[in-house]
Parts: sequence; C-alpha cells; structure tokens
Amino acid sequence: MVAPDLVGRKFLGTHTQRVNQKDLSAFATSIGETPDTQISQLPTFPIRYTLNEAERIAPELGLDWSRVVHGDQRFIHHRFLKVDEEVRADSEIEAVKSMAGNDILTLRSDLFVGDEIVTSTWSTLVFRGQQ
Amino acid sequence: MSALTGIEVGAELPTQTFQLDRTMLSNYAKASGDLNPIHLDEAFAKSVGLPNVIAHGMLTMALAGKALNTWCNKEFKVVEIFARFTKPVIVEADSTTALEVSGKIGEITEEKIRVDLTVISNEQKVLGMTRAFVIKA
Repeated sequence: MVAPDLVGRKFLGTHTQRVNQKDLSAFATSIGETPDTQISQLPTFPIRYTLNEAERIAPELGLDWSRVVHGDQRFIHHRFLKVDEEVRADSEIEAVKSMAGNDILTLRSDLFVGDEIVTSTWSTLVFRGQQ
Repeated sequence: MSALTGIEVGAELPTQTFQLDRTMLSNYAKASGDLNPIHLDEAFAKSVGLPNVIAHGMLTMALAGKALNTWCNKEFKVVEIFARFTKPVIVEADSTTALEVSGKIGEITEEKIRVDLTVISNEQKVLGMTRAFVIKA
C-alpha cells in the first residue's frame, strides 16, 4: 500500500526530450490522421512525454508498473508544443488512495520548454493489487 | 466550415465512427511509447485475466481528439480534454472493432465552447465524463 504522505511529493524532470517531426507524424498516422497534422490538432500527443515519466517514477514509490491501469486523463494546453522544442516534465503527486487492494495515484505532470509551462497533464493511475 | 461555427448549447455534432484493429494498436503503441503487452499480445492479455487484447485507453482518447479535430476543422482548437476510462475496448485478431464518437455542446462562454463527448464501442460507453474545451484558432 502506498503511503498517504506521498501527496505533494515532487519529481523534477531529469532530462529533456526533443519534439521531432518523425514522432509527431507517427502519432498522427497511427490514428489515421495525415503525417502533416499539427500538434494543435492532436490534443493528446503530449502523453508521449509524460507517460514515460510516470513509468520512471512508479518504482521509486514501490509501485509495479506492469500492474497499472489508466483511470483517467486530462490535458490543458496553455499553448501548443512546437517541433524541435526541448521539453521537460516536472511531476507532482496530487492524490493517493487505496481502494479494494488497489493503489490509486493522481499524478500531475507539467511540460516545460525552458521556464515556460506549455501543457499540464493529470493522470489517474490504478495499480492493481495481487489477486 | 467548422461544425462548431455559430453553434448553440445543446446542439449535436455529427457522429464519427473509427475502426480499431491490431495494426492500429501496434502503431499507436510505438508512436506513444506505451508498449504494455496487454495491448499487443493476446496470450499475455489473457494471462492477466483480460478477455483478449484491449486498446490503449489513450488510443481511444486520441480518437476522441481526432473527432474533435474534424469538428474544429482548423477554425477551432482543443485547449482542454478529459476522459475517464470506464470500459476496455476489446480488439480481436483479424477483425475490427468500431468506436463511435458523438458530441453535444454543453456550454458556450465568451472564450470557450464545451463539447461533451459520448464514446461507444459494442453498445457500451467506453469513456466517461469525456469533455473538451475548444477556442477559436
């Protein structure tokens, strides 16, 4: 079981990821959009830069990533990322609860380009207990 | 013209249907970086108690985003989107699973339009509380 005192714990991004046209086109075409689709037309594209942060953080909390189920997801775009920008994700645990043997975590990840916050995301992640 | 131009609260947006198959799941897995085998490997999915391979919740949400993008038609853009993953979308081998996305205008303010989405597969709502805010592009 995860400790409730994890709420408020911050995980500063340790590296940046470059937004590149190849990744953007691959994301667009995987859902049947054309390769030249803009980031502003793909409101969920930034998951590419936040999900791997959640995957990195989970083991630090003693959570088994192989047992994760996505509960809900929010994106707020303050502006849209641009190709060739270097993006960093800073994350914070906003809520933790345990229910029916599952650990439920709400993780906020803000995507920054330099000091500018570009997109805020919230992921509720359910870590299923061992049956 | 965008389906949202001159729209009023309560108006319904044209339903869009997307077809999911294993190839789409595999391509989305690579493109998003989510390589969880429950979306790719039938034997693995069944070993963890699922009926079959399931689509990424985020793929379903991305397709809801695609429907929004079509309604926006470059005249509007999505500044906020939320979805709750309520039911898995099962994708069997060598077949397609349909996903129907419909939308209704929930609220209009000076800056934003709220679109409430309904996302259905196999006659079940697979996303819950799905809503987006769009602004003029």
